[in-house]
Amino acid sequence: MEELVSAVIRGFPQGCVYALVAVGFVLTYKTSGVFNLAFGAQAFVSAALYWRLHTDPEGWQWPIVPAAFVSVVIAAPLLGFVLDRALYRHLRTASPVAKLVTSLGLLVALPEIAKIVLDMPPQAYGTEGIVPDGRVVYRFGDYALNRDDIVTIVVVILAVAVLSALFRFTALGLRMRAVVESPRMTELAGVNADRVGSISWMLSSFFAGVAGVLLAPLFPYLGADQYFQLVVTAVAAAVLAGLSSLPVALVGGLALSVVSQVMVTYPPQDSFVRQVLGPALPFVVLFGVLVFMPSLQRRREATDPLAGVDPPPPALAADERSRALTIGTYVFGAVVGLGFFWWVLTVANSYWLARFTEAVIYAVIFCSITVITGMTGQVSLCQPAFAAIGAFTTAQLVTRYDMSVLAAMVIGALLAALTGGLLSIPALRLGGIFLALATLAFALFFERVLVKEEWVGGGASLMDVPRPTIGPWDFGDDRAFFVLCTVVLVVVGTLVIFVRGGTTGRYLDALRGSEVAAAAIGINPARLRITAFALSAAIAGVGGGLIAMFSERFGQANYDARFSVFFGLVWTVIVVSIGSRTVEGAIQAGAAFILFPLVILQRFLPWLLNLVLPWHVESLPTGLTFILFGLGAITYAKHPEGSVEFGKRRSLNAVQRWIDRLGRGSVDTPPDTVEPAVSLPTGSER
Amino acid sequence: MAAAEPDSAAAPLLELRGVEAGYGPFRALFGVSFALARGRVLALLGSNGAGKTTVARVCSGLIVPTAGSVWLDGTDFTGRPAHEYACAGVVHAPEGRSVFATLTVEENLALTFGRSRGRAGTGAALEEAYAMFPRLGERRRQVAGTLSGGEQRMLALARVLVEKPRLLVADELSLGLAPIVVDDVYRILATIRDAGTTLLIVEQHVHHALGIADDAIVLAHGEIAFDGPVSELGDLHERVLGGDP
Repeated sequence: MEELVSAVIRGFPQGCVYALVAVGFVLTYKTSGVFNLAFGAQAFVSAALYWRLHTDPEGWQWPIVPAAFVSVVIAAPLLGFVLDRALYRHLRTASPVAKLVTSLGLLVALPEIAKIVLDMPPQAYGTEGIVPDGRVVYRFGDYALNRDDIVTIVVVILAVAVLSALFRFTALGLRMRAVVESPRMTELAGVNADRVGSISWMLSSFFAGVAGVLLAPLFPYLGADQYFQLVVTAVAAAVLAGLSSLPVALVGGLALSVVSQVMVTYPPQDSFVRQVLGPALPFVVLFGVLVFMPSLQRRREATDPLAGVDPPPPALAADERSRALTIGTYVFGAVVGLGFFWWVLTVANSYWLARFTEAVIYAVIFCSITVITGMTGQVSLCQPAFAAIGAFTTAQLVTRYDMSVLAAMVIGALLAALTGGLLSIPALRLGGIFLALATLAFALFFERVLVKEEWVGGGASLMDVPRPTIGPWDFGDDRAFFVLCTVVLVVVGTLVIFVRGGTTGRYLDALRGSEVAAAAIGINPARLRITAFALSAAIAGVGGGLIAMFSERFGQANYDARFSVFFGLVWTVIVVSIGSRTVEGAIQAGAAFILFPLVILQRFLPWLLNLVLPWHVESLPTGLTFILFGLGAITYAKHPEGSVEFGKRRSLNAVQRWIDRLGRGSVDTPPDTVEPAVSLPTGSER
Repeated sequence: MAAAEPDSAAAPLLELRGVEAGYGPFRALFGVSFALARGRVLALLGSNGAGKTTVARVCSGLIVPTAGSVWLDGTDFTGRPAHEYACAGVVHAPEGRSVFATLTVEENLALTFGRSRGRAGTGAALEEAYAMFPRLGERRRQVAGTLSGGEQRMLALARVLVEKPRLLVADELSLGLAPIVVDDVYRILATIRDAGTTLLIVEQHVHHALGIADDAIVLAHGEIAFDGPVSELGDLHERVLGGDP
């Protein structure tokens, strides 16, 4: 019994940390309608600034008060203001998924921008909090709390009280909630929606800043990944609160930590609860809440009654290309593709051969995102977990049962498909952000629990994975293996193209447009979604198997560098910013993921800069990759087909118009300015 | 800008000059001009897709015209945000269930009244609204999204009718209401007209609207087909509504 009490008390400070983040999360959702996974990134920006101003031994060594004032009271709301002005103001009427993707882009880009601007070392040690002598410990009987803990507890309780009062009693709180639901109607009530939105973002960003600086001492070093981990853990408490109740978020955060603490101390040493369930509790709870909480399932996204006022989303630029141009682009693509293929096979040294092989494998994996995001319009954040299932299965089957490596890869893909299908069944009714969250919960569960199990990750030692042989052909040679990967890519790409063009693809298009309307014309949304998930998971599994072969020795130790949860976000961001609708986009994304930092950032751009700049540039920071693709994903709401894809289509259309002009020798009206004779039906008739 | 603008006393309350507007690449209005004098009631008629709702949205600032201008009381309001129109006394009752579904009935009302009446006046305004629609009073703590369709219309109406605006733009008020309630609504409209509010009524069901209107405008394909007193309308609206003119 005493042990129990002690566990409860020990869980309390950690619970307040979760609660603080969960409250901030709920606050952002309530005031902006954005499921802001970038909350941790915003917190990191303030914490990094504070570190630079105050803690850094070689930095400016400001005293606590001015450093905290600048980083929390000035910088954090300013960041919120800038985000609102530059981004979220234009997204108020966008879909929740578009907002989520935007926050993913920020999550990837913001910390890198902060690191470059503040010139942060890779790992900033010796983080100190905002509290003077925060590590001073107070003893209450047998229990000890340090000053940081106490301040965190006070801040979170105070924050819940003040914010609840704001929402309950003030006009501003009411207006913030109104703007989230319908900025237009709020405007009609005479309220300046833009100003209210800015205040909302400044408030929630300020809160992120407080959390960032306050929680910094918890971490061994200051890194955006630390905050990200904290945020995804706290998400469970936020969802438990239905994303709306601040007090429930507080209680949920506390309960989560205390129960988890009890689970890892109370039951016997090697029990399932202590070993598996305790550490994984937040993700199990998150998944459970998403699947079983009726209010989340029944929750219809409250739609803006005046949504019709906004222009309809821009359609994909029409393909009105002449035959010549179409053939021209195909020939161009084929020449470039075959050119690279030839170059890699004959000229490239082993380093570049390996990089190109990796790029091809990632292109295979990214085809799975083409299926899930491009075709069904859903965001899945657990693609790395599916790929890891493929990789681990391949390695395990080959090592343990001496199976042919290609057969093992196929079984791995099937297993991944099974997992994907099973995972999608409970998540069927969830859509949009909640489905994305469920996949995130699974990815975290996989990472924190399953990978560490020997039957999944294969224990501490690496497993040997041979390169395959088919009959007379031996793919042991690196060049031969490159050819094999290319063949797999061609097969997978063709499969995706056929599925997209076939019945399933049409059904998925219908489903993406409107699930209700699709069901009304006899499409079974459940079966279709399971199929799409399974197909996507299988493709990721194939890619994972190829990675295991590529690595030659694979095991738990490779997991973090290849398949960690963070990659799930990065992959989605890259594919979405380049083009999630087409296989071509997936291939370019694969190339970009591997080759962009090496070729563009370390070689091409420095060379270009050295031509013009008076001083010498060795290479550009690799963080730029994240920044560029993060910023690319931010445009998702405007260009759901991907900003690179958008640019490509636009320039092709420009070429087409140029060809037309040449052909006819006169200047025509461009086709897209033809005015419809009859107006668009008014918005409310949809 | 224009040099010789009439002073505000003589200027019409609302004037549209050569307004063209649309949604993205779609054009809905092609040069719509009309003026609405203070205290008058104007019925805006036309078939589906004629551009009635778009005109209403332009009048309340929801849509910024791509060409032409919108004048309120002799002041050019073109391009100003919608909340400035609202503060200038233009109240727009949008068509459909235009309520905040996640807010309670009382919060829906308080949002509007808080701006126009201030914190002190909100309570009185709420009582006024509940007196007008007793059903809303019974459900004041209920989330608006869970009201029935008719009740949501009542809520939307209560918001705009209690305001006693200078100009009320009412878009398809009768849509989805029981006939008996429609009669009530038009009775209330008559009261607030008598209290000095200028009305712009958008209706597909013309008979109610023509019963209260002084003037009428018939829109067809985004252009004005008729503009004049109701008495001169004749059977034009039937021809317009019946099909292509």
